[in-house]
Amino acid sequence: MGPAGLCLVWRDGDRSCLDGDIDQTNADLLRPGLLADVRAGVAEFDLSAVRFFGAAGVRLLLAMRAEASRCGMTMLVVCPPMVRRVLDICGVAVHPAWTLVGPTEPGRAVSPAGES
Amino acid sequence: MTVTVFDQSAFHHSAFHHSALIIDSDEALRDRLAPLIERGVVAREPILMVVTARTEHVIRGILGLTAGRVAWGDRDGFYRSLGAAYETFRRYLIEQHRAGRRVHVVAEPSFDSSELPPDVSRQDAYLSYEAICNRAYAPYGCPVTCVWDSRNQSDGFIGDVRSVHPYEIGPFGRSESPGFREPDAFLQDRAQRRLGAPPAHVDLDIQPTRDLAPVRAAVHAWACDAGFDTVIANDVVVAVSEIVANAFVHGRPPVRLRCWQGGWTLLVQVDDAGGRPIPADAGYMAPISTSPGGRGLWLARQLSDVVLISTDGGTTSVRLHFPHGVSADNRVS
Repeated sequence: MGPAGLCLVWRDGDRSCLDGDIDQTNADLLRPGLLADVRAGVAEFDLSAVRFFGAAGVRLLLAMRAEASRCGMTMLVVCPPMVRRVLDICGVAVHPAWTLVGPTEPGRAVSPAGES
Repeated sequence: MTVTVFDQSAFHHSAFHHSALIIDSDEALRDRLAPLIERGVVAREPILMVVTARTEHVIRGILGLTAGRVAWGDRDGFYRSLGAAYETFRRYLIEQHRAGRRVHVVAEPSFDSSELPPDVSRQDAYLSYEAICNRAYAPYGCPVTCVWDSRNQSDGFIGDVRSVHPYEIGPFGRSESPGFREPDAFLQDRAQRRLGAPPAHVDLDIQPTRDLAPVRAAVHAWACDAGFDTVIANDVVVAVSEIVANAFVHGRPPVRLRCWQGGWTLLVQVDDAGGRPIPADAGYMAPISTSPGGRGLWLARQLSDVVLISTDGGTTSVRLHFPHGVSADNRVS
């Protein structure tokens, strides 16, 4: 788990995982790499290990979603309840360019780490 | 003043019919609300009633078997925290509009302030939402009638109720409300109100830096110590984090964060030294997906309950209230 206040991102095939806090101090720093992931065809963004997510995180995810739309792709976003709650409150959870699933819900493109 | 006597055709006017029905007795309910509902039922107008048990009992008694033609909404589902109540109604209206339905919503706002400090009124704060819904609910073509009971209310409060409704249902039907004020003017007046000072002793008194992680950890621990479970404490953290972030972006350091308890409520105040008034309607209108910003205060209003904002001298202050029971109910989807 990353240090508080930071967010680590790592790629695992066509899945990118985010671990830590996403806020106004780092969202703009994360943005170029995550948009590049979208363009490179990353299908799944796993936010299960995100510990803080607010307005800056929403803005970041919407930029990624817009990029996916532009590229004619869709995203699967694995959201812990606190991320899903913020997205629901901001009225952006439902959109043709992405599907939001919970960490234990079916529909994930890639098997969870540790499974053969 | 235009008087309309139960003219159903007026409901097809393109204007948003947001009406107050101010009652001071069960007789007034029977004389003013019941005929409105009865005519709607006869005209096969879809009606949703989200009213108190007493009002439901009175109206059902008059409607008899036709009460089944009215939809009776779950009060607990609609009336949670102030922001959530306002947004739940708005999303309901959007849904009806998309389905091509023109539903007459009859709401009876009732907000219990017993958990809050005695100088804070949830229903008074809710009138700011009533004001903004004249703008926010207007696109959906559904008339909304708000029943307010004037018993045990001050004349000033009832005057404010009239200020936020362009129409009133009186003894002779619906008429334009001469006391109506445009939302911007009403909210601007409210923005001039001064906040009382926080108590001398508070639980947390922090001068945050732009790195908000330590502040979030401190607020989360404080909320849990005060009896919130970790999930609800997270709502507090997100709301507070957004306000502090805004203080740095839109205000000016030094920023001060104070947290304390009053009644059965957690209170958080963020002050910044920018002295720039926050727009009176900030955080009331749902952000659209393409807007670059404006979500911070929206999130704070949706995740907390009463939000009071004041600019006094060189200091801008935002005070968030998280009543225990209301905050817990707000998590129930």
